[in-house]
Amino acid sequence: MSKLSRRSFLARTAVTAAAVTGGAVTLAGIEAPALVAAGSRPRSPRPTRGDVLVAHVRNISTGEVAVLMGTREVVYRDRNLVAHLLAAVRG
Amino acid sequence: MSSHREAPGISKDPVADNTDLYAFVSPDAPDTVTLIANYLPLQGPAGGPNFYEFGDDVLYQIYVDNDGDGRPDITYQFRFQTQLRNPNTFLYNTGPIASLNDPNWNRRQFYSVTRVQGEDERVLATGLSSPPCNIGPRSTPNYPALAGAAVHHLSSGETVFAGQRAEEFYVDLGAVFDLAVLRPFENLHLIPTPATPGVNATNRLNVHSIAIKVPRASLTRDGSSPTDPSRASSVIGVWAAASRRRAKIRDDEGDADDTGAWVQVSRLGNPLFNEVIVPMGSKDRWNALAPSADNQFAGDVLHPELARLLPVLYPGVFPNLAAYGKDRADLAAILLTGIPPGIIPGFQNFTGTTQADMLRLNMAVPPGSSNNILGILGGDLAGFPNGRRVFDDIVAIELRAVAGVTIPLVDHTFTPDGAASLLTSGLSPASVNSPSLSSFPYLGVPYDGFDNPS
Repeated sequence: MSKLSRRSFLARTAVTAAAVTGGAVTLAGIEAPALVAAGSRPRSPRPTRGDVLVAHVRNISTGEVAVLMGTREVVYRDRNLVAHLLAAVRG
Repeated sequence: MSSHREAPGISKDPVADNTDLYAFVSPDAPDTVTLIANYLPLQGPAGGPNFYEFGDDVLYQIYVDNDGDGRPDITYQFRFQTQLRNPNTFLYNTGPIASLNDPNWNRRQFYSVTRVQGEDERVLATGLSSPPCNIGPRSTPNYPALAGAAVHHLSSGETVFAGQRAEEFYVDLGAVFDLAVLRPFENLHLIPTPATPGVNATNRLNVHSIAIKVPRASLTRDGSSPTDPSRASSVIGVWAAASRRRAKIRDDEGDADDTGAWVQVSRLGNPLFNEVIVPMGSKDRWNALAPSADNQFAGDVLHPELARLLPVLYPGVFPNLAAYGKDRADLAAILLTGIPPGIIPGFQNFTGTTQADMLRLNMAVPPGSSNNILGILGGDLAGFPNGRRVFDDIVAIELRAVAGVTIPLVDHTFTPDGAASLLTSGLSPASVNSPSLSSFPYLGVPYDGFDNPS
């Protein structure tokens, strides 16, 4: 992914530091835990400062998109979004 | 190996590769249990200047199931953070490291410990120091003191250590993976060669260990300290794992961002389960699953490939095993459910009918005054497969079990082949140059790179 496309995508999502709820940071700088074992539902799934947002098109034909941010994952369908992304990739 | 590089996927990701798991009643503090999970296999001690360390992007976890459903009731989580003092030198250390705060130590790691029980998620400690790797007499002149300072006693009652240790698992890899040759019995192999002594392929290599000593009462379902081995509440199932975030995005500056849920990439309960029982095409998937899903591998336990291979590779040596066509209920008990009451006098580590690969420990069995490295096979109820101690001869125990020694526990009509009870890889704890310790963290002092350059 080029810097332009990635950065611009992040900018358009309006994910700013001010809008993101920061996780607790310890004196040693270790982020406090915000989740549990893989396969279990996340605990306190708040995005942390500096996290990126990634949209993963899991199925082009159905428009299924997984949005990853922090330890959160939201899966939804948006055929229009996928169509726009495909158009952007194909130039 | 026990679980070193045991699956195609994790073999390419050593920082998350869970290699060995130990669970035993602490011999020097029998009201506690020690759990040790090893990662980062086969470390050459001289592997600088970027010496081995835990992954800041890996979630390390040790799980305890105390109600037999193959799901965690108590989880200990370990998260690491690396700190670099001086980015303008290539050196790990710029002089002797005399203490964990020594300014000569350039690249340090700290970690947090979290305990999760039900909905209760509690950070027990943060900013805990790991020790440096053992580099050599000039850089780490008093390594035992450095490691000792990295043993942390938490106010919540646990004692923890996370850092480099000597590999205590002994195994003749070169022989085992050469068509299951077992030195010193290679003269009996289908492709015979003269008998020679066993070779410990993991000797003089290090691992990274996460060790935690926990009061027994804090692990039981009813909060009691177990005293009666016959009680179901005395038994826990233990496994360890490592997880990575769903996505990693690399930028053009050499950095990367991780995001998304944690996804399990490595798992370990009983030694050699994924290594020997699970077929190659399923190993990566097995690593991603929880033990509660292990009933799908029950067929591989009931009819293990190795039990079919032994009579072929050692013609005429295992005729009774070759003729045995029944389900291996003995192995299912040892590996998937625990050994029910009434099979071994005075012992059980049965967790119920849920088939799950967990290291099962009956915490009411006290540590013995004299240990037998063959564990229960040697009459020592405090050893594997009742948990696992660092010196237990896992290879010999599991070889003998697979070869049929444990079948009579559940099928009195079967007579094991004479060779089955002699199987060994020709090794013992004496094959490990850095011996295990009698106190926490029990694993030996890691080998230094100067004296163990290759």
